[in-house]
Formats: sequence, structure tokens, C-alpha cells
Amino acid sequence: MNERAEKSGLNGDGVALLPGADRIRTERVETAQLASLSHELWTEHGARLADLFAGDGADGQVVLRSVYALDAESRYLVLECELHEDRFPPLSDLDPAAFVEECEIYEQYGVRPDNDKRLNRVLVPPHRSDLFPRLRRREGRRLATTSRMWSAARRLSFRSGPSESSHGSRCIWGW
Amino acid sequence: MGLVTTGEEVLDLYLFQWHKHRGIERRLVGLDPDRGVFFAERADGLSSVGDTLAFCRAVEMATGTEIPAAAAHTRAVALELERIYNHAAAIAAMCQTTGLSVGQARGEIVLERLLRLNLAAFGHRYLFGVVSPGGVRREPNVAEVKAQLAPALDEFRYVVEALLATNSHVDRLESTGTVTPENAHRLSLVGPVGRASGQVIDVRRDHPTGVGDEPPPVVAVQQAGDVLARMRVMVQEVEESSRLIAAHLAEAGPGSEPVTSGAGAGLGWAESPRGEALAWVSLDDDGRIDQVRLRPASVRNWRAFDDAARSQNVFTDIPIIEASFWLTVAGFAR
Repeated sequence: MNERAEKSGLNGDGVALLPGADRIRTERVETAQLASLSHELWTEHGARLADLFAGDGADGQVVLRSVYALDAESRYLVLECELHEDRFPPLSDLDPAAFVEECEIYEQYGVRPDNDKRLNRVLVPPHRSDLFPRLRRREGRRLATTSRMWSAARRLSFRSGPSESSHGSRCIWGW
Repeated sequence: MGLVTTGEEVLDLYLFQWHKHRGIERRLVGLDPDRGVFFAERADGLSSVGDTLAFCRAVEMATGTEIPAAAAHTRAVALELERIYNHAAAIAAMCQTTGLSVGQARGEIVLERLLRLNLAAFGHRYLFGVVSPGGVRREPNVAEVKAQLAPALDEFRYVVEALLATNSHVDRLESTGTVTPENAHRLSLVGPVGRASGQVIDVRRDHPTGVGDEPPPVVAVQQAGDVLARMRVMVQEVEESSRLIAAHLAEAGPGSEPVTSGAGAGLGWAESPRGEALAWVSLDDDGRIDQVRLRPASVRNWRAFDDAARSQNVFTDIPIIEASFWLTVAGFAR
């Protein structure tokens, strides 16, 4: 049994820890293992990421589930991991198909992949996401803070700011 | 949808799909699975059989329910009828987007015939109310299917033959909205969109569930990945679906097993007209839905739409590409 399998409590060798005739197999894994397992499944075992979604776990924790289709073996594999923090391994860095679901999970549960990608409204391409409205959770709070700071800045610069321009206009137009 | 163009050429495209979000998965929580079918059917109305089948299979797996063989055949007939009318609708829409009015009219006549066939066969034009946890609620009217399917398909073949002989139409489809096999693999595309880009994935063949998936379909595959390839895949699939309907129709019938109540979780799948539909269901001790995840095929394939639209296309190609993908926003923002 290799180290990862030992850690995950799964019996087997690498991702071939999935022997057996089960059409669907559900395995609990640790969050830290998810990325390497996902990568190995995709690159070495030809598994296809069929779905990635989150759900409510015990004690208010979020449970992440990734569904892999092993088409050649006619089997599905569901990897479940309980998130103890609000971050999880960025699967879309390895498997781009996961990006949509990562956005969706962030939208619905407020947990995000552990990278710097701007998760925006679903399906806005990551390279242009800064141009579009943010999500309602943490990004929303950040926007609110920025907005308050901007108002404060405007109040401070009132005398030399908009009012002055306004007076200028009046002079020009003779109001 | 946001488009960045320089007049003709599409530089970039952004999709905003979340605004139609209806919270269907949340609405399902606390419901009896039998009542949940109402919402599952409406997650992506044009794939009602495929999505509901995935949902019901997940419930059946969670409860260990075996469905009667006749019901499995009935489900297969309904699923293939759904595929046929969706592909016919997509081909009619392609004509509309290329400005081929006659082709569009003929295609929509075929579509209307197929929808009337659905009504005569199962009592609903969009095949709602057929599939239920443990079996089916309705059985097909075999005589009507036999009487109406063949003439509708003859009309369909005539339209397709005429379309493929119309150079102006084929020119608009060829090399338009290309999704390369590499991109299709990278994005794990499913359904006709994936198969038109060389992805040989069909869960009826790869993940059979019993008599409902026997005989396995011959999977239609193309490599070009453009709109024309998607159309060719759809045409081949219609032929294959008619063969499968003929194989299942004689055995199709009513039947439903009661779903036992009790806690459990299950995963279900089906090859909807848009590709692999998935559902994951968790039931509580009373057999009510505790958590549910519905993943219609549109969720997976919309991701490739912006890539296809950017691949050296002009502004007027966008509707053609959209028709060939034949995805639904409802399925995405369910």
C-alpha cells in the first residue's frame, strides 16, 4: 500500500485502489489528496471528470464530491472530502473542465479553490473576469468596503473636487 | 451573452448563464422522490426524459430498487423519441440561422410531426410524466409509434438529403465553430458536441444499466468538430435511435416497483439528447430527499461554446454554432 493510499484509508495501490466490480464506488479522501488523486485519475487512468459539486456535511461543514467516469471499465468513482477550511485544491488547474463547477460551488457555498483565479459569474472566462460583476459572498463584501472607502475619499476631496468643477461650469455657462 | 467584435470577426465572447437560476435542487429537498420528479423534469425541459431518468436511477440505486424489465424498455423508447425530436429541432434551427427558410420550414414540419408522435405515444408532446422512481407512469401506444414514426423519419431523411445537397448551406456549416478533439478532451465534452470532436463517449454503451441499454448503440463519431460534423452526428443518431426504438418497442410496457423508504445515497446517469446527464441523490431515514445534485449535459458543454465561437468565426456564425450545440440555459441555471 503506498503512502497516499495509507493516508486516505483506502486499500490498494495508487488510484488502482479502485478494484472490484462495483458500478459506482464512493471513497472518502482527505482534502490534501484530492488534487494528486484527480491528476492521476485523469492522466494515467483515462478517467473523465463527470461532475464536481458541494453539499452540506455534518456540523455545518461543506462536503466536496468529484465524480469520475471510468468509461473503459463502465464504472463511476465518487471522491468525497470534507472541507475543514474554506479552500480546496484547485482541480481546474489540472483539469480545466472543473472551472465551471468551481465557480458554481463558490456561488452556492462560498468555498473556493486554493488559487488566485477570479471566480466570477459562471462561464465568464477567467482571463477577463475582472471586468464583470463579482459574486455575492466574499467578493461582495470586498466591493462594499471599497465602495465605502471611495465615498470617504470623495467627502474629503469635496472642496477641490466635484464642487469646484461644478462652479467652473456655472461660470462658463453663465448660470 | 457578451460579444467583442471588430465588426465581423468575433474577438471574444462571454456567457452569463447564472441569471436564470431557479434553485430547483433546493426545491427538491424534503420532497418524496415521487414528487421530486415534477421538478427534475423541469430542470432542463427539452431533456426531461434524460434528466428524470438519471434522477430516478439515483433514487433506485439509493434504495436498492429493481425496476421491471418492461418499464426499462419503455424508458428506452421514451429516451430515443426525445433524442429524435431534439436532433430534428437542432437541424431545423441550423437552417433558420443560415437563412434557409425552406429548409427551416421543412425541418419544423418534421419536428411538429415528432412532437405529435410523442403526444400520441405517451400523452405529452415533451414526454413529461413518463419516467418515475421504480419504473414508468405510462406505457407507449405501440400502434401509434409504429404508424407515425416511419413517415416522420422518411420526411426527416428527405430534408437532410436536401440540406446536404445545398452547397450554400453546407458552406456555412463547414469549418464553423470548430472544437478541436484536444479541446473536447480537455473540457470533457459529452453528447453530440463531444462525439463530433472525436470523443467516443456514450453512457448507453459505456455504462449500461440492464435491458434498457441492450442492444448497445453504435456510437456516431466525427473528427472535424465543426457545425457540419455535429449535424452529421445528429443525423446518424436519429437513425440509430429509430433502430433502438424498434428493438425495444415490442417489449415495452407498464410497470413500477415501489421505492422502499430509508436512508441512502445514489448516483444515476442517462444519455440525454445533449449527452451524459448525471444525478446524485441522498435520502434521509424517511426516504425523503435530503440533498440532490442534478447535472444536465448542458452544464458540461456550455463551457466549450465560447471556445467554439472564438475559433476564427464571424459575427453571424454565432447563432449557427448555438443551434449546433443545442444546449439550454435552463439546464445550466437550474
